[in-house]
Formats: sequence, structure tokens, C-alpha cells
Amino acid sequence: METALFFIMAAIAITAGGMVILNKNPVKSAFSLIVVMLALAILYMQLSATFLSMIQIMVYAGAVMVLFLFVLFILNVGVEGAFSSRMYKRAVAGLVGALMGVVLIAAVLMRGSRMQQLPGMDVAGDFGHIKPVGELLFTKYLLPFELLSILLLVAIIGAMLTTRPKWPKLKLPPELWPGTADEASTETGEEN
Amino acid sequence: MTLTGYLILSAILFTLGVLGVLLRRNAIMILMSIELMLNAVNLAMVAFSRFIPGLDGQVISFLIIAIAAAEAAVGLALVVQVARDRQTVDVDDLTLLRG
Repeated sequence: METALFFIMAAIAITAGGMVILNKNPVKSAFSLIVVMLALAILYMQLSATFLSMIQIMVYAGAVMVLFLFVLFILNVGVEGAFSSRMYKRAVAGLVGALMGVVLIAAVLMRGSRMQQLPGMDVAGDFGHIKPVGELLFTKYLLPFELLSILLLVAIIGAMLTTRPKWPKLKLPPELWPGTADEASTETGEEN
Repeated sequence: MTLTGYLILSAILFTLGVLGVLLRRNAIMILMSIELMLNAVNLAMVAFSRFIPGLDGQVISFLIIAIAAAEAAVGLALVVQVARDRQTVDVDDLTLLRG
């Protein structure tokens, strides 16, 4: 049962992952990516990472992909044309990428026999639940966690400032223009 | 299911992400392929955390998800600004910095 579920989810993830990079329409690619993320969430559940599975659905499939879809709709990105220009370079790039994949899989398979001998499969009943993960997050990984909050804050401010259309022009009435204000105050001072 | 199966799935998804970054010309598609690669790494992390019992892998996965969200926000902001400025998101047309 577990093995069957793994193979079904792996097939779905690989098919949808292929559709992500092969689809000419970016919106269809985005939806394929959501399918990949949901399949991975089910695999996380099977790996008894229940908290991470929920986070995967909420943050990745929910928030990040909605952000991608919003940008696609805002920019009205059309369908990508055929790979006409620099065909040769693209073929080389694809070959290099495929070669990297072969090397990765070969590395996993070569070490496979050693990985089979890993210690027992038995884990505690609450393994991967929110409490033990949270405890680890607030003790051993406290510094990365806090740094991450700063990173997110900087990312929010950076994204807002980057997409800002233009610095707003200051529209002050003439009596408040810099320079004249000082003169006005000195003039009133002289009168007194 | 063994650890090897999960790692091979992770390697295949990572390779698909690399191919997407190398082959696609749309900047948003490149960002999506990066997300695919990050997801593949997350799967490897969670699989290791299950088969070498210990929650560290899951916590690192959690951190990776948060970093990916920040990266997507900033990257998409840059893409929006480039699209406003140049009326294109095709990375082949953005050659201003090419030597």
C-alpha cells in the first residue's frame, strides 16, 4: 500500500514537473507546479512529516503559487514562442542539464546499498507533529529562526520598494518650501 | 519505500528544475523552476529526516520553505519592475548587462 502510494505520487510529481517546464503557457505551468507541490505534500505525510505537509500546502501551494499567478495575470504574460533563436546553445544547455540529472541519480544508486543499512524505521508516535518540530525550532534552531524573520521583513520592504512606480513628488504649498520657510520665520521675528 | 526511491524522485525533480532554468526564456518560468528545485531539496531533507530518525531535516525544510517565499516575493517584484520598464519578461531580450 505504502509502496503503491509512493509510486503513484512519484508518477504524478514527475509528470506534472515535466509539464511545468514543457508547457508554453505559463499559467498552465503554474497549475502543474501546484500539482507537484500537492503530490509532495502527500509524500511528506507518508514520511510522517505531518506539520511540514500542512505548511507545504498552505505556504507553497497556497501563498507562493497565488503570488506567481497574480504576477502572471498582472503582466498578462503571453505564450512563449518556439525555441527559434540560439537553438544550438539551448541544445547544449539541455544536454548539460540532463547530464547533471544522470550524475545525480547515479550517485544515489551507487550509495544505495549503504543507505539500506540505515538504523530502524521506528519513530516516536508524535514524530513530525507540530510540538516536537516547534520545540526544536525554538531551541536548537532559534538563531536561524530569528534571522529568518528579519529576512522576511527585509524581503517585504524590498519587494514593496522595488515595485513602487515612482518616488512621489512632494506637493507642498509655496509658503512651506524649503528655504522660504526660514526667511518667513526670520521676517516675522524682525517684526516682533 | 526505501530512502533510495525518495532520493531518486528528488533527483529527477531537481533535474527538471535545472532544465527549466536552462531552457525557458520567460523570467517567471525560471523562478517557477527554481521553486521546483527547492521542492526537490525539501523532499530529500524530509526523507533523510525520516530514515535517519531526527527532526533536524524537517526544521531545515521549514526554513527552506520560508526562504523560498522570500525569494519568490523579491524575484517577482523585480520581474514586475523589469516588465514595466522594458515591456518584456523574456530573458533573451534583457541584454543590457551583457559584456
